[in-house]
Amino acid sequence: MFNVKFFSMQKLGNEPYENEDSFCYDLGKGKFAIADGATECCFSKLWATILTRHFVESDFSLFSLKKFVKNDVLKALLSFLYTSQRIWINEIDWTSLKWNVLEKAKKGAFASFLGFEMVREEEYCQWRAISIGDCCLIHFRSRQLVNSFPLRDSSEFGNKPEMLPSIALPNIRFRVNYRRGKMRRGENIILATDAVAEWILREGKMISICETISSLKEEELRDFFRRLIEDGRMRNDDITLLILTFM
Amino acid sequence: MPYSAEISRKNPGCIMFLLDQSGSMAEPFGKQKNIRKADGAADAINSILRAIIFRCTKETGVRDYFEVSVIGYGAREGYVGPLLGEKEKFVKISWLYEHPLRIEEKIEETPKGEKVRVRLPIWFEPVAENGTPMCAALQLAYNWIKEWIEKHPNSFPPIVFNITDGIATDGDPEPYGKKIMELATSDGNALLFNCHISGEEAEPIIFPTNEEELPNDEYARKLFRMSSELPEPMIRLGDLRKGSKGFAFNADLAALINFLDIGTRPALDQLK
Repeated sequence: MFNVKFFSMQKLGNEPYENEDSFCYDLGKGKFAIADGATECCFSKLWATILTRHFVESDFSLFSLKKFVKNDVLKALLSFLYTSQRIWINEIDWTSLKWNVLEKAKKGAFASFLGFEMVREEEYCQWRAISIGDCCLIHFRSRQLVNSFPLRDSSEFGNKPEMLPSIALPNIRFRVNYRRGKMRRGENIILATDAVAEWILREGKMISICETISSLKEEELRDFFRRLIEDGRMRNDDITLLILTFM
Repeated sequence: MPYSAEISRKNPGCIMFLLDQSGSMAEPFGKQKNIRKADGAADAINSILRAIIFRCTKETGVRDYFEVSVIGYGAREGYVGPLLGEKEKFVKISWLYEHPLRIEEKIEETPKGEKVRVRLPIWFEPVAENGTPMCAALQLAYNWIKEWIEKHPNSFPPIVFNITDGIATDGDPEPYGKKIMELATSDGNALLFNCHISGEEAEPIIFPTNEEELPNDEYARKLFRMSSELPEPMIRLGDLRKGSKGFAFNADLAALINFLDIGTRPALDQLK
């Protein structure tokens, strides 16, 4: 049996509708996704939402790849990206946009993205994940952080993560990170956007982070993160996390 | 680290332009004989204002990350005053977006291949008349920037661009310029950048590091001395030499646009 807990809040000082993170999951399909839309673009919330929904709701599957190797993963990702881009372009009513929004939207929206998929075996789950940018997967076993992907340390977070573009760009380059693993009973996997992932990797090794977060209700979590930001322990940014527990 | 304050709607940035509108601005602009200096300067400011609005744009509207001021000097005998709105010292960027002087139109293609009519706002028309009361303009800029800093003590420091083609006709501008450079928020000193635009065909000198790089012209050297050293983020973004100052001499239109772009980019990069 699995338990899923999710939480998302906008950057302090912003309105809830300005939160440009997105998450989506389907426990039955074993598919989960999070994305972090870039603030400096137009329609980046839309782009982040399309990426997460399309990953979860479409037939795209990391387990359909015969070989989970770089070239196959990249090919599958580019196909997923292309169809996502078509959805984004078609969702926008371009002719109604004002000059500044049109000019900006034509340059595309960007988002970092992490897709996670698992398949249940007898006593454990096999999982596969892909990530572009700084959305992270963090694996806990017996309250200990045992693995994080694609970033391993809080010092690796920067201002210019790689991102998926919402329009076809001729010279865009990004590295596809992919990983597979196993999750056993009693273990947790957290999917998190950058600010919260950075904080977990810096401080989470010392506290039972999953228990702390799981025990708090939504309003309490909001206060918990607000205090962390106000104390300067976490960057002020949109926050999204999803905790998956194999019970 | 200075010049790293986050620019947000709560802690906006401040950009001010001082625009010389004196009679000599009617002369041709560098090698482009068909463009007057006044036309080029107005085009460059209109263009940089559109770029600032562009950066503050979200699909839901224009976010007030900046307050902008434009002070004109010289258009009418001894005139020094605001060119935006009625008598506003600073206007919010969303106000600017909503209140252009006029709109130009052009046709663009969307990613779906549709042709759309795009409206480009213009806030300034070129003016070129009378003398160059630069000292009075710098004094007014000082007063307004000081007031702005009192309201925004922790914001990214104000950036002031002085665009001129001539010699001040109302005294020595250097002490006035230095007074502006002494104003500071907790994130660093206000930045004064001077752009001398020219009718000469000589190569422009942009972001020099010392006076010796300039011709033996007392006025050019004076403007150099009353220009701020570029802070580290600007040096890095523009790939410039350490110690470069925010000064351009004999700038043509391309140099002026480049100058404004590099001067505003570090602030635009602090948007959160």
